This record gives sequence, C-alpha cells and structure tokens, in this order.
Amino acid sequence: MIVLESWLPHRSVAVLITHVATQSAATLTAEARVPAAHPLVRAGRAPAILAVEAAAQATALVGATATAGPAARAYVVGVPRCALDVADLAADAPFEITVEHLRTEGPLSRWSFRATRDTANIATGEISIWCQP
Amino acid sequence: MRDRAIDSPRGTRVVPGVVTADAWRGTVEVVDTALCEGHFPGTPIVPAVALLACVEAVLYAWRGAAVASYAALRFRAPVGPGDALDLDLTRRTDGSLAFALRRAGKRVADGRVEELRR
Repeated sequence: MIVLESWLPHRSVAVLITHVATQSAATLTAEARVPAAHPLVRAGRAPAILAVEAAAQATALVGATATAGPAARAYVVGVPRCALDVADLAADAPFEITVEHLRTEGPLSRWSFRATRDTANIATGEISIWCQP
Repeated sequence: MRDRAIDSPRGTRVVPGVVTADAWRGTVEVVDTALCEGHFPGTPIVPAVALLACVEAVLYAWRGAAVASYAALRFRAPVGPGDALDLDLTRRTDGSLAFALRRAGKRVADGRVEELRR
C-alpha cells in the first residue's frame, strides 16, 4: 500500500494523485484530481494539460515501488507528443491516469500515458522524465 | 488576430510585446511563489505544465484558440519565482505554432502547438 505523502516529493495542492488502483513493475493506474485550491484552477476549472503532471506523479510512484523507498525527485523534461481531448477539467473531479514504462536510458525514462474520465479520453501521449541520480 | 486581454495564470504576469498575425512576442514573469506551492518544499520550481498554461493563455488571447495537441516539448532548465522569461510564438508553414521561452537569451522550454480547429 503506497502512502502518497511519504512516497511523492510533492506536497499540498501540488499532489494530484489520490490513490493507486493497480500497479505492476512497468505500469500504474491511479485516481487523480486537481484540488480546487490548485493555483491553475480558475472558476472551478483547470487546464487539461495538468493531466501531464498527474502522469509524471504516477511515474514517480512506479519508481518508488520499484525501489521500495520514497520517490527520487524527478522532473518532466520532455513531452514528445500530447493530444488533449478536452480543454479543461473540473476541479476536485476524479479522473483516471495510467502510465506505462517504455524505456530508460541513464537518468531519462520514457512513458506513455492516458488520462480518462468515465472511459472518455482527457489526454494521451508520452512524457520523458529525468530522475535525479 | 484577436485582441483579448491575457488571463495570466496565478503567480504570473504575461505581457504582450510585438504581436502580428503570425507571431507573438512578449514576456512571462513569475511574480511570486503561488505556482510552486508544494512543488517542491524548500526548492520552489514552477511545474512544466504551468509554463504551458501561460502559452495557452497567450494563444487564447491572441488567436481565440485552444490547444489540440503538443509535440516535441522540451523543458531544458528549471524556472522559479522571480524569473523573467521572453516568450515567442511563431506560426510554422504546416499551420502549427512553434514556441520558445528564454531566460536571459537561453532557452528554458520550447516545442510545437497545434490549435483546436473549430
């Protein structure tokens, strides 16, 4: 059982993952939501691109699980592609984020991601994460 | 070309400079720590997606458009409170837009944006 506050370096409104649904060595599906107090929320709506941040946090949790310790500080350094199927998200409304590891080269890893709500796509694409050695 | 006021994301001040039908040049200033709350404690860094939210705010004010997709995004250096960035958006021959954010002339983020067709 992952305790998010102790496994992610994010805190407070920056934490988008609420709980992990399923996980394996290379994939993770989690529930996420954008807190109403998040700085990018305006009038109860948040930019859909925040799905990329949720994906990044999900990849950190995969890494934390693999090493059985808190996730190393990691940064989104690239988004080779990202399609947005909606313009924005309702604050505090749960959505699902799934990440799958594609490859790792040194401190860089590439992941595919898919964010959905009620099976409809919010965003899909790939992200590159740089993990602090 | 639209002439809407830019709805700068909280904690930023986005100001247009030279704007034409095919190019937007202006500045993005990170005026406080609002965007860095919890990201990360002791080391405030503006989340990469917040930089994209600035690009989206400009795109909406300039062209009345939302973003359909991004490609080839690179985040080359961390951005923090107090940073002042130059933002360039330029229309490409394929219809997409290229953007670059620079701090003191050095790129901190860049990539391509496809507008939502209406």
